[in-house]
Amino acid sequence: MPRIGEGRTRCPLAVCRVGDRATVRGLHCPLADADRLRMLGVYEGACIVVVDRRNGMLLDVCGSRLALDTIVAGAITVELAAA
Amino acid sequence: MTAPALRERFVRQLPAEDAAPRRVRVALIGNPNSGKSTLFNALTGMRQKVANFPGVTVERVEGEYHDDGTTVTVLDLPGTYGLQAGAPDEAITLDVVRESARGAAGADVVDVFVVVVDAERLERNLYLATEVLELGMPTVVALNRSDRLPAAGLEVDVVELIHALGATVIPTVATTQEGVGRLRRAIAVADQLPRSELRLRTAGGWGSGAARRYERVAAIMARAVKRSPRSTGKASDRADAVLLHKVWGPLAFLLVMAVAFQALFTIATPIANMLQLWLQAAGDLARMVVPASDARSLLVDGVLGGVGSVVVFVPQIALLFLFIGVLEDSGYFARAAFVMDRFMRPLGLQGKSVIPLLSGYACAVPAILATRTIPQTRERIATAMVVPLMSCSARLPVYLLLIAAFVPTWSIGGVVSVQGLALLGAYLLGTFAALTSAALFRRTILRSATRALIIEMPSYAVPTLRVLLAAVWQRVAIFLRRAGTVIFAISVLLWALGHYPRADGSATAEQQLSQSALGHVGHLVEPAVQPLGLDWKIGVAIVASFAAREVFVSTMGTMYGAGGPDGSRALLATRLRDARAGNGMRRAYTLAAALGLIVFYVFALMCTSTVAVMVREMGGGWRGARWAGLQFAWMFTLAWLGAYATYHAALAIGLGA
Repeated sequence: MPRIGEGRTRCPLAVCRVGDRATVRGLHCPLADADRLRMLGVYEGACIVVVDRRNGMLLDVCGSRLALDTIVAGAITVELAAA
Repeated sequence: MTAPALRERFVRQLPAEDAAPRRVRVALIGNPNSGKSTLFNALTGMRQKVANFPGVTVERVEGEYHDDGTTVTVLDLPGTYGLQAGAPDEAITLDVVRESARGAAGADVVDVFVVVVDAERLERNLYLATEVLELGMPTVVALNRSDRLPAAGLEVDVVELIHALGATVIPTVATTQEGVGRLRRAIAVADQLPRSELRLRTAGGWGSGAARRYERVAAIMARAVKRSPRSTGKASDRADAVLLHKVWGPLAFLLVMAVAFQALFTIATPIANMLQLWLQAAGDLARMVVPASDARSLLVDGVLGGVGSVVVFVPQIALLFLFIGVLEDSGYFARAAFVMDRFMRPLGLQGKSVIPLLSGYACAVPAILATRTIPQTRERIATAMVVPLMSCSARLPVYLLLIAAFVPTWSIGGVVSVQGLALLGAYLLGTFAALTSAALFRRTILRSATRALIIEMPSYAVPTLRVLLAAVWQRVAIFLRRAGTVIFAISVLLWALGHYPRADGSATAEQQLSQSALGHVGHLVEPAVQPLGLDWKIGVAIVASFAAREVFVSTMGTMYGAGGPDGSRALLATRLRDARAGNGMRRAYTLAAALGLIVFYVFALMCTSTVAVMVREMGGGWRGARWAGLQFAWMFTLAWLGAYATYHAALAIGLGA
């Protein structure tokens, strides 16, 4: 099994490491939260960067910083970009 | 079309000179924290509250300006990320958009939209801009904070952006008013320009999905924006590494609060004491100039003693608002919400509740309004129910008076004063009560799943001194206006009640007060406060302060002006400390009773404005009144039981001397 961060691996956003670049592949949270995420730039196909993960997740999305709690981060499937 | 021709078409076209005077209604729409309210203030000259976190504006606010014979009404709308309602504040914006697009008549309908786009976060902001442009309404795009583009690593070709969007784009810097004149001119001609063609393109098959819209935004960005490395991100990330850290983040939060409350004592108290001395000098002057009479007593004991005793707390109030303003404008509030999220979840709340709760340190009324940014109804009600437990600025004079009178002036290590710690303790107790009450409500009458935290972090910013001072002055002016109206009226009324009916000529001031109408009221409520170690005078002050908490201080000022020895130069705090009872055999108030009284004021909801806004925000009518009634009863019960427990616990450890 490929390690997270290597190759094009699909995984929950919550397990990504700081500095990982990833493409959003699925939003498996309640519809209202998914709609909000999409408006904020976390849509299927969006490229995101993990900036911090010590206390929830801090992402760089469309040039702005977006903070998510770990539950919602666990409901987002991403595909990691090649290292 | 060439660039100069576009410029001619969109920017320089002016209304015909013979045009009749007309009225135009404009709505400012944009992402939260994109600078709409600052632009609104720049356009209208008003002083709508601004700060650096998402969700400052939760109501629509109207202002007006005149431009070349045109009266322009501007609506400042709550921020939204897209035309899809999530929270109650966003619904207000969407109502205006929907009604205007339908072309219906009414107060919600506008002629022109100004989409305020944060240049620093252009890509995300263009998502909403394209949605608004697709409505086919006259629209102007304000490229706000355009001075920050170089630091954000962006270079925008405005003409290309105009071309790509099919709408006028005006670069602005609302804080310095740059571009505001050109924006006014663009608004004046907006309805005479061709509509954006984005609508037609949508009809041609763009679809409405977020992914496709962002694809289109990316194409617009590729055409009009050049990117280079950011120069701001690294410093901001370094600050976030500490302030958002699992351990250091909450510790930094506590440290910030502790420093602020120490500063209230070390910086503001000497200034407040100086004001107190000036007021006493004014009283002495009045005694010298005005002959002994009821009029002199009214002036010295009623007005100077009542209103004056509240006004001396202006330095502390100003410092508190300065401190809250710095936190708001620096971008720290949203960080606090993120840091505190994991502590809020076990209580059934999420990080977004932290912003209204922190705002509650200033005033519960705007803090309850700020709960509109919480999308989930039960979470929102639970937050609003406990916001008044956060110690607001009106409690500050009460705490400061009682702490100055009864808490020893010792210091620990010559740095931390016990009085400062007592003040911090009062604030922490209120915060603790708010959080545990919220947990109780969320596990009983307001049970539901907690929504996820999704919050945008604003860029850090150095607060502008001019904006900070304007905000502080606005709040101090409100405080002084209350002192000049409500507190003045209550002080005069209490003076009259304390002086009539007249006792016989040989009665002392103390006997006169006891036999007056005020004394009768006090003796009536005395059984309710006696178990708390308090006497009828405090009972009167508590009853009077049901209108507003700071009236407690003015009432004590009036009564201890009327009841104290004539010509006394002692501070009100000293008079309270020295007050005697039982024919002078014992102190009227002990440290134990004072601690109980502080706890009473930490918990009690004594503010008519808060009750009124709670009724309105919880749905109005019977539904709103029910929540407001429950809130009042809950807090009053906590207050009485808390004061009783504190008093008896303090007696048990020997603080009753």
